Amino acid sequence: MKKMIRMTGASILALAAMWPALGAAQDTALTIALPAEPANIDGCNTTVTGIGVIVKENIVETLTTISPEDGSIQPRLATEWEDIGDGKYRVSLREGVTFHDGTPFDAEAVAFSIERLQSQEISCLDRTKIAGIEITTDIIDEHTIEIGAAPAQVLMPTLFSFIGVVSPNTPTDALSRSPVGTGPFAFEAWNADGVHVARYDGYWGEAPQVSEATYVFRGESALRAAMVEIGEADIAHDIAPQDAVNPDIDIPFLNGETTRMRIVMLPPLDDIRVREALNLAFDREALLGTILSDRAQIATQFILPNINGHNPDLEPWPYDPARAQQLLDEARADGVPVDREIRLVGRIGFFPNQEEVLQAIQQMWAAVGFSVRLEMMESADWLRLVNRPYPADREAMLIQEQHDNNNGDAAFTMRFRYHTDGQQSEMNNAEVDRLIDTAEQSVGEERTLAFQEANRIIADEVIPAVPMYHMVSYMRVGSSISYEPNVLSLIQLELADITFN
Amino acid sequence: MSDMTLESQHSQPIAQRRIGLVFMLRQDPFAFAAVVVLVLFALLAVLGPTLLGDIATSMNLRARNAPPFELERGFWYLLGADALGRPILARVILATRTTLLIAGAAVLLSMVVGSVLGLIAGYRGGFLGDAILRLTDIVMSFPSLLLALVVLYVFDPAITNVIIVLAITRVPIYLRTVRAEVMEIRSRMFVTSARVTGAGPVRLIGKHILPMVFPTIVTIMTLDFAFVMLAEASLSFLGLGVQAPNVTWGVMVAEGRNYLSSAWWLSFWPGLAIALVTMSLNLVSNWVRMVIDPVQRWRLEGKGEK
Amino acid sequence: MARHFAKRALWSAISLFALVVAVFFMSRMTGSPADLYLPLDAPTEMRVQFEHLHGFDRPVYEQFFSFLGDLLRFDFGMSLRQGLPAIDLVLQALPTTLLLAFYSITIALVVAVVTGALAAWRPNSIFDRIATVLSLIGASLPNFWVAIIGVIVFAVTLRWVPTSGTGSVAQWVLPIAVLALRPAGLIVQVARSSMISVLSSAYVKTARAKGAPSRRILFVHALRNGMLPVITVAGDQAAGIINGAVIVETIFGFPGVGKLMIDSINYRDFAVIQAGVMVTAIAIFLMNVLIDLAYLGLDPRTREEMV
Repeated sequence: MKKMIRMTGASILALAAMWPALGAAQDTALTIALPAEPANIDGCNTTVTGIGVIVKENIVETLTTISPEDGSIQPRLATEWEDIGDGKYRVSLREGVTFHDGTPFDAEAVAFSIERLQSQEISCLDRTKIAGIEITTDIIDEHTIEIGAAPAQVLMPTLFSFIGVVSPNTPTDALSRSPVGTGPFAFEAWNADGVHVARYDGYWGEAPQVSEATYVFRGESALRAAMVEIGEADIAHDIAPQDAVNPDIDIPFLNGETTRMRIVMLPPLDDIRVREALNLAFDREALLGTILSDRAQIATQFILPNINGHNPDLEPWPYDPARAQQLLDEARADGVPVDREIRLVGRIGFFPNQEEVLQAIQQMWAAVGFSVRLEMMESADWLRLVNRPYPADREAMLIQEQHDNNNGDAAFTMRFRYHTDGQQSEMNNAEVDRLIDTAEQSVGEERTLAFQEANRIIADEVIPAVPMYHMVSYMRVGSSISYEPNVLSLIQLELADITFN
Repeated sequence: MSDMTLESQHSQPIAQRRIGLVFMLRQDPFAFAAVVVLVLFALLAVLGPTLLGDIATSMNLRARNAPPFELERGFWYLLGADALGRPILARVILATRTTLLIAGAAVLLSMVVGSVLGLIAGYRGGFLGDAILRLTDIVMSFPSLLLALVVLYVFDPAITNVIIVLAITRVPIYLRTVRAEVMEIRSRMFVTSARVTGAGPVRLIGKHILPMVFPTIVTIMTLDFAFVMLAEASLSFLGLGVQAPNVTWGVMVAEGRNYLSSAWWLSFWPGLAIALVTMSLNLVSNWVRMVIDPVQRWRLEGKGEK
Repeated sequence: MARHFAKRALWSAISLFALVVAVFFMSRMTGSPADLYLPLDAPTEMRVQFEHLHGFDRPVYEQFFSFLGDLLRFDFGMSLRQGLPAIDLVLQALPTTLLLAFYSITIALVVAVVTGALAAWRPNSIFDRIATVLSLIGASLPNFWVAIIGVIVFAVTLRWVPTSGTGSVAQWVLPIAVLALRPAGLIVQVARSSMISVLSSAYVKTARAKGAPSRRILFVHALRNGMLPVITVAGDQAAGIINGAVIVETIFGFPGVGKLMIDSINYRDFAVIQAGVMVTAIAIFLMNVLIDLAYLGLDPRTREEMV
């Protein structure tokens, strides 16, 4: 009973708090509708979609950032960095920066954050990005720190973009739901109404126009869109193509995600003709502008064109059902069991309308004579199929996958998915292994070319997948504000980039 | 009371009764329409999939979300098309068999299990009765999603498993309803003479308890039918239940969810089918009940005499 | 009476224990939380560390005994996802859900019992036909459908209420209306059906013959006797809302138990699942006690049976 009374009290307060917001003439408070409530908003989980979109560079800043345009590394809390050999970098830190709790930002804080990120006491998700790498720190002076990696990392400045710096007062034994960083916005509250942040007056950079923001969580795409339409929210994140009906306010953007179907290359899919046939029988153009946005791009490989190592010379597969049928017939004549039923395993919740997409492809394949059974799976069930070690009694199948490499370099994709020892790799190709090994240890053009060559071999000679699309999301942006979504907007939405009309 | 009714009906010549029934049905337009609807759906369930061929499953992206009542695409597109441009009318027909099979089996199973357990719990009481009741408390509190996931993980995603999951979650309502009624009737029986005159438990249940409990049970059943059809869709989305290209009305309604603000017809027509079947079942069961119940029967006959 | 409730409490404690055991083992049959909590491309090394950190690498029976030990101190453990005590999360969400259940079932009961009784008074009358059709539509409409159409009509087109959120009274209108619809439809039918039986029973006919006023017969004599199944069904529906108003809670952004449970099950957040099941089970058990008390109040003859 006490709880209920308290709750009613809270609602009255919340109601009272809403009035000034409704009445203010120059209102620079925003409401942003997101699809799902995150579990936490810790500064060491900034690379996770639902968390980063709130935290990253708004509340907690990273040492460096990646430019959404060209993938280049930009200074943020680190102003300069220099490779001093032996896997070590000397990093100069920005001066005159304070955390929201008043603690000064210095080398100590950076060392603390790096130690916390790697702590065995908590599961920081950003650690995924530095898996297998041990990062050490050496404090030189208040604003200079040496950061080392073992084994040495060519992409060290990129790794800096995964290191969110949190106040040294952050608990080290639990993930935080009230992060304290150095960003232009300070965390205020997280309650039934959502997550509240407010402009931080002591911010080192330019003061943003937005004074405060509330993140609310609504699972229904149509409802998020409606909230912006009637002025309850200013931004609706990630709305479905069919709800994006007003081109003035619904902005499509490449969201950094790429989809494909991984091929488990066992009979009959061990025969390259059959894999070619799968690709040829799939009319990729047909789904664009119908089930999927017309702004989605047909993918030739698993990384986006702005990623270092993307091979621009690869051509999308043509739609040629006759050729597909011919290849199948040839394979059948050679005794390949092409008529065997093949499972197509989808995972729930990758992108809007995905079941329709899968059903459509299933039909296209059926049209040339494949017998494909579509199975939708819940995440945990699906995961049992994608990670090594694979079960011994595995069968040929197609696995729907989606991947986002937002880190500017193909290294975050290649070994994991294509190297013989990759955790989710189906491949065993000596040349590709060699190219990936070489690329990872090189810089500049050599690195780019090695990755590009690996991608060519994969796409032209191995065909371990049915590449699909570089995906598009829609963001509905209310007419009172301006915001230009970019390839990172799904995981990083800087309130400071929003201006008022 | 009610046993007398039954006996008096049995004593009528069969042929005469049959004529009476058809006659009475014609007198009640609602019940008549309901029977027609049910017969129609039964026919569709039996014949539909064979008659349709692949009309219902072949996609046509140019007709994606085509609105209803436009005849230029042909008769099958009368109710519009779904997100893959498949004609909704054909899909509603295709889905009839699977839908009715799953829903019917699940509802019957939960009703039979629930009623039997409820009879035992109410009639016997004591330790067994308590145990059964507390078991329903557990079932009522057990998250059905978790149950579905366990089944999904441990067993194959077969349709029988869907039916069992659905049935388990619906058992408590029948059980508790039957038990409550049995307890009430039983206590009344102490006052009346049935017990004293030495009626055995089977006779007591068959002649006194079941006729009293049955109308309520049937009412709940008809309404559960709709619920089960919709619940089945959420299981399908987990990977348990029917998978494409097979389809049910519940799945169609759920698939249309994402298009509610742009293409209402995707979920409207299958939803209407669910409502129609539910409503028809309910009207027919109400009518049957009136025919059986002598106190109510005059309403039907009386109208006829006018 | 006291003995009856002591017995009932003992039974409930036993079944709660059985429930907790069942949930403990069954939830662990559905995969590892590491797979769901960590990103898709997390390396095996991180999965192993995650499982070790949270004790999932220990044998299940060992996990079970330490869980039981903690439970005796009313400690359900910490939520994996949110890093907060599981029981706090559940108790925070509970009031919202209980209020939703209370308001929607109360409204549904009042509206439906009156409608059902009036419909039963003259079966097949115009009123009965309309009430039947409307209630059946109500009972067969899916929640999400009513919810989304409700938002489109009342929040977007008419702008009478906000689309979602929990801050103000107006924000409760749509969720409660949506939740009340199906129970209302069901109860109208159950009440109607039960009342028809009662109205045709000997003693109501006697009352009618004696010339008692119709309204009195309907709402006092008959209703009292026809309420048994109505209460059972209302209880079942309330239980459904308490452990599963998921759709409404998710669509309208109501942070209740249903949404918490779904999220926890989807992420295999075992501690929260266990705490949630325990708390909702207690709520449902208590409600069933209330229902049985209501049986007693309605029909004094069952009393000797219950005791």
